[in-house]
Amino acid sequence: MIVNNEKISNGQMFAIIINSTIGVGILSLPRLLAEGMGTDGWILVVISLVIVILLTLMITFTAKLFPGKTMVEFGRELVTTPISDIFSIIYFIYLVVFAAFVVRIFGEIVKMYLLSKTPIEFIIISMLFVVAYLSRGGIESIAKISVLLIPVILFPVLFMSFVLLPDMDFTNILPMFKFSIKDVTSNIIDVFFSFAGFEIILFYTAFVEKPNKAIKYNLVAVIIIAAIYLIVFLLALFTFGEIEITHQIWPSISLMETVDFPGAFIENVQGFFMAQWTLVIFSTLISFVFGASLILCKLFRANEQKYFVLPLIPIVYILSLIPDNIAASYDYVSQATYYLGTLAIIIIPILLFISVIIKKRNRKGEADNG
Amino acid sequence: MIISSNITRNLERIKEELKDCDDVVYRPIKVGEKQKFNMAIIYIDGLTDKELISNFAMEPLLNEARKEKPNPKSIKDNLFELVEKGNIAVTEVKELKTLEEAIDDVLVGETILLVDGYNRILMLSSRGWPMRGISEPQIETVVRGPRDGFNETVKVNASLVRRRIRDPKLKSKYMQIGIRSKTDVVLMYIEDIANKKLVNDVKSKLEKIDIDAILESGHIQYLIEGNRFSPFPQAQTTERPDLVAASLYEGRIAILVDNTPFALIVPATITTFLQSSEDYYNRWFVTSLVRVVRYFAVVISLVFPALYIAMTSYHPGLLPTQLALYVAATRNTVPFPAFVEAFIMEITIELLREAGSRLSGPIGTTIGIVGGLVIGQAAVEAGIVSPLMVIIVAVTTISSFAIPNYDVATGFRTLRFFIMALAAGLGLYGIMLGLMLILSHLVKLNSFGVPYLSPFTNIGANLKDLKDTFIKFPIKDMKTRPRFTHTIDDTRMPDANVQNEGNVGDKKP
Repeated sequence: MIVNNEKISNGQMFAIIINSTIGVGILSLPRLLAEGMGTDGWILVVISLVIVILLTLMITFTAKLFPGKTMVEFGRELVTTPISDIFSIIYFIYLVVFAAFVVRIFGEIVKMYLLSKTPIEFIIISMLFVVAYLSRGGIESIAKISVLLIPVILFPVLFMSFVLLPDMDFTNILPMFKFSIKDVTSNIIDVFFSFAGFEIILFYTAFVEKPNKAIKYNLVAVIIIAAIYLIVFLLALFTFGEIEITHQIWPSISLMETVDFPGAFIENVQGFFMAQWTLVIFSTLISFVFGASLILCKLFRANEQKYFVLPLIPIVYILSLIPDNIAASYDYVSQATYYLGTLAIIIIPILLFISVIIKKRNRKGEADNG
Repeated sequence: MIISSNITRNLERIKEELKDCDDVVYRPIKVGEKQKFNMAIIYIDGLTDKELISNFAMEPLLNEARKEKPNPKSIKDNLFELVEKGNIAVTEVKELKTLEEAIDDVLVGETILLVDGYNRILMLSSRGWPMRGISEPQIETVVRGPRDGFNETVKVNASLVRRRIRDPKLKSKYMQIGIRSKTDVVLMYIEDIANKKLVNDVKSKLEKIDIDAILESGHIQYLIEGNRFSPFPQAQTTERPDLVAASLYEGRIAILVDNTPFALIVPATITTFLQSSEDYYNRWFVTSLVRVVRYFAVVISLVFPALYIAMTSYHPGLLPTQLALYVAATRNTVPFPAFVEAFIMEITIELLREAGSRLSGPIGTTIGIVGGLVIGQAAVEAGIVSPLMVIIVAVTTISSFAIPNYDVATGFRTLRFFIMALAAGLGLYGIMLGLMLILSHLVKLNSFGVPYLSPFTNIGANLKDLKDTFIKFPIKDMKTRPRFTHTIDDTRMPDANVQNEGNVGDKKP
């Protein structure tokens, strides 16, 4: 009845958060955890989750006070236009850089496992065009496809848990609690950035129909993400053991390769998982590209978001091709996360939250005085 | 044109307007004891029920009228009223004020009666033409369920629906669309179920149609659809009155068009295309199995040949070892790359299907035999295609016919070639790229404001609609109408407990 009303439900928001967050991070996460804290890697996930929950609470609390407004707009009310616009530009750069990184890793993996002779440029640009096609459809399209892809993300994790069960060695998790505080502090940042993506709540809450109920959904979303990370890490740990994980670039893909049911049809299923994973990456990319185009649109105070999508594509494309190889791209992106990510995920949300609190208190004070 | 009171002038003008239309019959008559009153009857031969006109219009005018004692004053003054109220024994008569109306009515199949001295014309309803009887639908047959299907007359079709909904709230709005064809189109909906916005939306879209002729409901469908470039239909077509009635009860809207047995139902979603009316007459258990099979059919008809291409030419390593060896062995003699092989076979099948659907009876059977032999036997023996390819093509074709709605099956069938081309160029990644494009298109697609992939695209909002998708719940558990139509009244069963208590043998606590 209502075509293109630019509204999404809380359930759709929940799906978007999961889809934006789970992406390339999950591939290398088991290695990061094992390198950092060995068998106790799961503790890092738990600690990150606590921080993420705190941040999610702050972000959702801030965003839901301004229904119908994205961070670009309500930031202007909170911290004056110039500062807010700088924040928005940081978010924009952050989203574009991450989109470029994601699509580059995606291209590398597709090239490595599926199309060894196809130039990576072609893989990247074809993917970006599909992403652009969808992102032009607006928030509703993003929301709908996110919901559709939720089973695509959840099903393989459950499937692998069952299939790998016979080969697992549960003693791999021992010894437990053999870590120092220093291990946690030096590794937490890397692991924490596997959760990068949930901060799009700042922008997408504007479209949620009932923002007052958003907190519950958003929290469940980040908890599910953490649960998936935890399951994947434990699967890798039980299957490979601590040492073997650290020797692999993408332990999660190796995990898929080990799935083997002799006698049944289930053998060499990594093709199936590659297909599934393509969709997972797709859902991350659309969220990032759409977010970036949305920020541009709001920064220029324009009405139509869809005209800002196509100009982004060449930018993302060029950025994605700057690193020479996979290792270089991981280097670049870890540089980016230290500066941009810290700003975008931690500092700016906290600043906004504080300014909201101050604004509220001032208003209350004024009301008391008046 | 205003009607003059002189009958000869009127006749001349009508004759001028309908010049060279030799199927129009003019019958001047003289009425009354002394045959003083000139009248004329005009109709089109073949469109009218001649017997009705001669028995119930001509007979009373020519014979009965003479029997009455003349009362010159009153007859002369009220001739028209006398004829209209007292003489003509036709059920539906109407007074017309302009010649255009009169001519339009003649063209529709009505008969008009001109009376000298009056500037009005009497329309006598007399439509009647040879039509096909109500027979079983051709492409939507069911094992269990009513066997009647629509025919080419819209009034008959509307009555078939009305028989299933004896509710004063069932509204049927008649309108004429097409400047020249003036095709009758009926908009049917249940007033206190269907969403008002939807009704108004469809109505205004129909009113906006400005075209010379509507020959089939397809014309209307493509004129009111939101996205005309989409390979997917945004309105459901059916020949089955029970399906139309069921849809009306769901709060959807039916558009019946004259001269075609195919009615349109809007809005349509991917789930409605995969539902058949029979689903609701069979046990839910059986239906659920069939539903899952249908969803599989969609996937198979879309990607199966493409998967073959991708796996054989790009990623033999992704197949289980045994299977990979078998595929390689069967492709040993095939001189083409996999995608050429697949395209040859798919195009052959399309040719067969096309030829078979144009020809019926003995020739069609011949085509089937020849095609089956050529594909199944000769091509494999000659080593042009591998036996596996034949199996894949056959399964794909069968799958595409397992989709209950022909339109949407055609959509998927066409897209299959697109995905095959992508698989030929980019392997498995190409298939995923194609699927992502199709998914992106589908999530953007709306059918009259209803998301095309509803209810799969929203968590929470219409969870109840999932009861009628992969698994069809028993009818007792579907107490509400589907949500996607945003009905005004969404309860089907007000209180389910009452029905449970009705069961014989149920013990009451």
